[in-house]
Amino acid sequence: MKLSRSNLFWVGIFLIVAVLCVFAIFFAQNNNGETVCIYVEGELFKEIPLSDDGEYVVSTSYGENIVEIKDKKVRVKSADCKNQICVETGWISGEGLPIICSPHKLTVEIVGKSENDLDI
Amino acid sequence: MKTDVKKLALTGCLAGLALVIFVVEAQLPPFFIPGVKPGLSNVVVLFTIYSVGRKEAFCVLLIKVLLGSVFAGNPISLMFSICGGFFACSVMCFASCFLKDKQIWVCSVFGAVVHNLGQLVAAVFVMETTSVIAYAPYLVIAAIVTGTFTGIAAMMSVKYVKIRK
Repeated sequence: MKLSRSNLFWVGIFLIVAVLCVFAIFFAQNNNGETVCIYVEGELFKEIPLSDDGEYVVSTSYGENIVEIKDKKVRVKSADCKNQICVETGWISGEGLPIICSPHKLTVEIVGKSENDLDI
Repeated sequence: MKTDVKKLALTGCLAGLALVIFVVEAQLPPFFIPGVKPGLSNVVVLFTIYSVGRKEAFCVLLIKVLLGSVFAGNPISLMFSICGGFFACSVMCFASCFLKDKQIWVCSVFGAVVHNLGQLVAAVFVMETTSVIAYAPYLVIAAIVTGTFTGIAAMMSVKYVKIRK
């Protein structure tokens, strides 16, 4: 592919967008979380302090996910969903990226404080 | 109205091709980010836009998405595919109005970015939480990378595969 002037223009635009995204990712990262919140269909299913190591079973009509907390990190250890994206996401340790299991409509998030303290 | 049989047959073939690529791709292991796929079937959709027509591209997409979820998905993945696919196809059709054959890759990147953001919108509705928006920067970067590659592949296809009209 020859890089003509118009192609260079678009390469530049996309590079800038990519760099902005990398910045956004770095700024969003932190390890301030204290509580693990498990949501099913947007409803709070379970709330566990991040310091409570162990395995927690989330069983709903959609299926079953086993959430593991260890060393202030959280992961979905296993799930009976089809795509296994939640399991492959691996450990999360801070606020920001949640673990998603779309077939089970489940999200696992780490939040700063207990959900009850938030005034939303 | 006279039906262009050649075009109809061609659209059917392209839809079949897109479907096969879609189903095979669904079996591939994920790379880098969980859930991110290279979007190879988009090569066929792009090729259809540039070599056959925009209306046909929508037909190819519709067949790919509907049958694709029958063969390799579930009702929820169908919702994700429809959301992403139709946003992407609309944007690519619009972008193809002013992007020439040499810039198909740009069109492809637009399509990929909009596809991923469309899926994110679907995720917001499925999961009923806005926290998934945190994935947006990751998805945009992934879309730029995969969109460039599929776009270059589509560019080659349009260049070397000549359709007798």
